[in-house]
Amino acid sequence: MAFAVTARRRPARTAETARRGVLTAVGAAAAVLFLLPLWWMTASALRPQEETFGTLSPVSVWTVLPRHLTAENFGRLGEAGFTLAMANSVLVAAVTVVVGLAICSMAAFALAVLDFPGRTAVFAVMVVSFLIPFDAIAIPLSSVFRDVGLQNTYAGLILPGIGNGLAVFLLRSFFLGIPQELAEAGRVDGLSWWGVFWRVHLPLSQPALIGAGLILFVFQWQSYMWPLLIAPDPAKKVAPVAIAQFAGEHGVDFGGIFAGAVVTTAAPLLVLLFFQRYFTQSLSASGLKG
Amino acid sequence: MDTSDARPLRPAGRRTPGRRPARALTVLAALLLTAACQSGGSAEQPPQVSGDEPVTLTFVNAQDPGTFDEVIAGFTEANPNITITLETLPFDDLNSSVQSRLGAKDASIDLYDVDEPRLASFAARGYLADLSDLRAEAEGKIDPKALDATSYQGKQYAMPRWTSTQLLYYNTELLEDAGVEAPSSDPSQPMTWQEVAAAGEQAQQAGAKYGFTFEQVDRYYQLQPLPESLGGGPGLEGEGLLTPAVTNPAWVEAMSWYKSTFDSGLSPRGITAEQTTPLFSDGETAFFAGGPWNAPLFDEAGVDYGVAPFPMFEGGRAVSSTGSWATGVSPFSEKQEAAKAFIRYMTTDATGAWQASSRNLPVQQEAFSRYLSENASDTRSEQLAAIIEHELANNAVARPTTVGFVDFETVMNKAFADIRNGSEPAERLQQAAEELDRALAKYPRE
Repeated sequence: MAFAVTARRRPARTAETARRGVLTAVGAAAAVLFLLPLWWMTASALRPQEETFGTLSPVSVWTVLPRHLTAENFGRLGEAGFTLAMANSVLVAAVTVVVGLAICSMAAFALAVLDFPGRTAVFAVMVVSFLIPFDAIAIPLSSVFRDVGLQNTYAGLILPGIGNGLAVFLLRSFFLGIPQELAEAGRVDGLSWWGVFWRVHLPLSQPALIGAGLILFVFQWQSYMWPLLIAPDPAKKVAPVAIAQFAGEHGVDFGGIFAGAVVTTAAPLLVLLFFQRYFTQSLSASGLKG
Repeated sequence: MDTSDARPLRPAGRRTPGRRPARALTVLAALLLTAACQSGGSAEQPPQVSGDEPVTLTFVNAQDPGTFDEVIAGFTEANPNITITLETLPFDDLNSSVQSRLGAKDASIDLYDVDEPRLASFAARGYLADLSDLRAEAEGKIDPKALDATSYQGKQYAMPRWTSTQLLYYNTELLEDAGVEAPSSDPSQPMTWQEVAAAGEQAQQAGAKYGFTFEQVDRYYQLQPLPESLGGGPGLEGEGLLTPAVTNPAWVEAMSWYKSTFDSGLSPRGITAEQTTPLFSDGETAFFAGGPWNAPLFDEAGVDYGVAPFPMFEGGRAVSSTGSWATGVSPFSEKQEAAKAFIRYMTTDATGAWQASSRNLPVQQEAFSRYLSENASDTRSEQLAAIIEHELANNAVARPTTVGFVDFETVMNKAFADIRNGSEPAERLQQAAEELDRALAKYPRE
């Protein structure tokens, strides 16, 4: 009997081990495929431009490893005013996240908890707003912004990023998962709606807030066309625009582009690494009913 | 700015949106349309600045950093009340960005750089102020061909600053290794394209990675001389240059030769125009068709090279690409007089034009002579200067000045890329002609 059980279990365990092995191999291969462009970008930022293209064909170990390490490419970033552009990007993204989260969470709370006429219609408009690509409205919007004197201002860069339909959607879904009874109990105990929002919903929604914050952050961090339209002043230049300027008419400074890309990737990478647990949690939690 | 990656989640809401959003959608669409239709409208003809009032001009361009430092210093020394702020945009976005801003009558641009073949389209849309008074002052000082290339329907819409031409670079060492005789630097004795291909193949057999490459692969600017050399014309004809003419035998022959250089492995596929220069500066390529701007880069890379005139087809005529940047004034600017004063200094004045030339060829004739003499420091640069002078005087053919140029260039560049990747030239050019018919139909024929 004991023999029979072991005999039955062993193949099952072997199959399980094999399955796990294959999955691990596939997972590792996928990870390498995702990592490779980032690795190549970093390696290319650390070597002279000629080496980057000289080692492309035939493919060898030197295609992905820098043979002559140099920090020159990063030095050129400084000369091209990249530091200011990076500071602008950080400022714009940070203000967008703080102000945007405040506005989006309040809107989401109103749409999820407060009952008022036209609530569904308002929500529908917000859903539609994030389905329209921003690029499609950027040009007419920029002329409105210019008319009200927002050209070449930080406000002009920040404003389109703070009211994000997707962030409202995400937060509203999360708030809907919080039992209505909690809000009612709070009201019975004398809390105002503001108190319910501040003391009940916000503390319970940390993962969703981080998820929404990341959406707001990424929107601003990668925005290129809008800053180009509304803030062409060199003093208000943001990092993606500064990187694009390494591509001139008669040649492209790929070393500078790679170095700029490394610096601009590092910031969101750190933010994501730090918050990724909450981010995935927020995506799964906000899709489920509490 | 695209957030479409993030998939919307299914809301857990108690009241899922039902049919009512349709009305909300209509309202939203109306709001968006209103926003879209709303344009500036605030730019009225302003009083012109005069005297010593302080003025700040915004000059939108896409040049390398430092290009205008000298000319701005020279101009502001003589005009201390005028300050010039540079708005340097990424090269690929200059035209679209300027168009969208001027389309909204943005008064914050005073003057901007115009790519010569795009001038007609900008002028026809009313994005350029008439500078005909500056032309009168420039007669006799600026190359008349460049002045013509920047005028449209009899009016001067921008002032030309630089010009360009093409030449053939060769790697001395690679040719020596292959036992190939170096091409003549005599401007009147260009190689034929067939000879370039044969010599390039020989060099490849002796170890060169590539035999030949164009600097600007798949771009009309550099490929226009191929059909033109065989008498095939620029590809546009008729009234307003709005009728495609890219299917004649000369075009097919020229494009067949272009394709053959990639089929045989003489030139590399899968490399963009931005990546070709390193192929020559790394010493991997025997011949390189490029502009005078490549020479300083090759000097810097320390490659052993020589220069020869731009090749032509056997039995055809010698033709070289030309044209460059011009500067125009925005009609919505409130400081047009000051902007004109700066343009006058930068283009017509010999000192200003020299200061503004950077490493480009100035069209101001005194500045051009100075460019040639100052750059002819050794035998090779003397040869380079002689070729430039000869090509500009005899072989330069400008891109067609037409409102449809942007459409034309877009369609043709795609066709060039397809031919390079293996499409049959005759069929692909026929397809391009049909696409052009459709694309150019929107422009009125006078």
